[in-house]
Amino acid sequence: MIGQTIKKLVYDTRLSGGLLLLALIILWEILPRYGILYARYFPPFSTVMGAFIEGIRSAEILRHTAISISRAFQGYFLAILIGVTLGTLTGTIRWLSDLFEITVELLRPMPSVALVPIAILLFGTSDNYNISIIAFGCTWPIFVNTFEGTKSIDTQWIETARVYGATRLDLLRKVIIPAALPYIVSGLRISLGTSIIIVTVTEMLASFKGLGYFIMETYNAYQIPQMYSGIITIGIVGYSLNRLFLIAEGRFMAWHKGWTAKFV
Amino acid sequence: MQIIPDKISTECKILRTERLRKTYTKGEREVPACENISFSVNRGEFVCIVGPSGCGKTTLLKCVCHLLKPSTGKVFINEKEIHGPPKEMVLIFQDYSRSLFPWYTVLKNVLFVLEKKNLSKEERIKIAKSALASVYLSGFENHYPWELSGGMQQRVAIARAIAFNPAILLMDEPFASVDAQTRSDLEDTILEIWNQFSQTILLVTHDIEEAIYLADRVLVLSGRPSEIREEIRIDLERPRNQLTTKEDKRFIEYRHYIYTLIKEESQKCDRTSM
Repeated sequence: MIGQTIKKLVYDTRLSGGLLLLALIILWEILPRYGILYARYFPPFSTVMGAFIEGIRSAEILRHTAISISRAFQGYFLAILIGVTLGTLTGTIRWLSDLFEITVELLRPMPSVALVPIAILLFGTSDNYNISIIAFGCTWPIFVNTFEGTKSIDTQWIETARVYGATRLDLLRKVIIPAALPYIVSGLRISLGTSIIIVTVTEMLASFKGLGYFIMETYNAYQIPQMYSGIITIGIVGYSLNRLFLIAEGRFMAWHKGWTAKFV
Repeated sequence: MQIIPDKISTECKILRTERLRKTYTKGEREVPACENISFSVNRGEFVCIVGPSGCGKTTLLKCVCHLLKPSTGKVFINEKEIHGPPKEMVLIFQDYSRSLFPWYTVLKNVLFVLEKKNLSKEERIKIAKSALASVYLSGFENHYPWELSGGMQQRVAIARAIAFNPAILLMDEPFASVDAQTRSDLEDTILEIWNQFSQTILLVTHDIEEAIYLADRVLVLSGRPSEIREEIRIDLERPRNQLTTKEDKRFIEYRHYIYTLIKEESQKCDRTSM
């Protein structure tokens, strides 16, 4: 009977996952309280939550969060625009991919934060500084995936469309983009995570607003619980965005899930 | 048995090819896939092309509808030369899973081909639905193609072609990827459709019985590079029947004759490739 219950608990990953999280939070609460962790640097969960709730109530955290999300999204959408356009063009036009290859291969491995000084020289500490670096870093996964996706399209889909009189624009809109969409979407998901990383780092380095700034600022002021509340907020933002992305993907890409389940 | 050559009467030739030739470049060498292919198809006729496997049948069909540009030679529709995929002609591929769009539902796959036609939305949906009905797929409009069996998917591909309503239907081994039972069902469906919509059909197959069963005329290809080796008029009454037609003495004679021809050709093929 008890064996059964335990088995059930273990196999219900949702439940056991929640239990694991709860256990970690309890540890986080207990370890500093009993002096096993240095409470000044690792304040107990309840203290951090106090700072977090205070930050929400005073709208300070919310304000910084809104700014970070806005920067991340602007850079992200710019990256989608550039990545999908360039990826589709190079994936479908041979000479363009030959033309871009060396440049892309040189730029792509460059860590986007290495460009921070250049962006500051160009934009100062305005939002454009963060946005340009986010756009740079997020473009590559989208670009590469779009390129692969549009390049590897089954020629028979194209031939079928041509038989039925599809124009080049029809081909692009109704065949090439939908067929490459599974690839594009996986690029979009990688870049979504990247955008959160880069917005945080750039704000830590040279901004006066945003969650990254908030974390560094509270750190410098030795407001350790507040610092943790900022870190937690970024975690929550990242988690929620990914969750939303997956929901949207499940909705719009249902055909792909069913299709691959059938053939792979 | 007497083999009657086709009496050429040019006035009703809907499709005609003139010395079609297609070569591939393989490294430095030019490898011909088909050579000097000239034939014609009458309006409303059902013509099958058979040949040993690997003799470039698919290449030939793609050249006929100009998905591939022939290296030399010409294709005429109603005695007008074509230079790109013509709207009078549709090609149905062997591999339905790679020609139906998995991101569209069955209905949308059919509607896709109607977008270029000057019709209202209601008319399009009506045409698409009736095309699906004629291949017995009513009720599957909102399924995705990959939710259907292979035979049903090929029916969707056929419905799509019917909805487009081309004068000429080209089919590249359309029943080669389905099981035997489904295959004979599909053969009969195609004959029904041919009867009902009075299209002209040019079908390529490696299956001799299928070719005889369906066709008014069978063109036998030689091995690579393929040429038209012989042309056989099939004198079996219609409507054809899976049992009685195939038991007919003449059916068996045709089968015997064509089989022997192809056997010779494929042996030649093996020798040249060795």
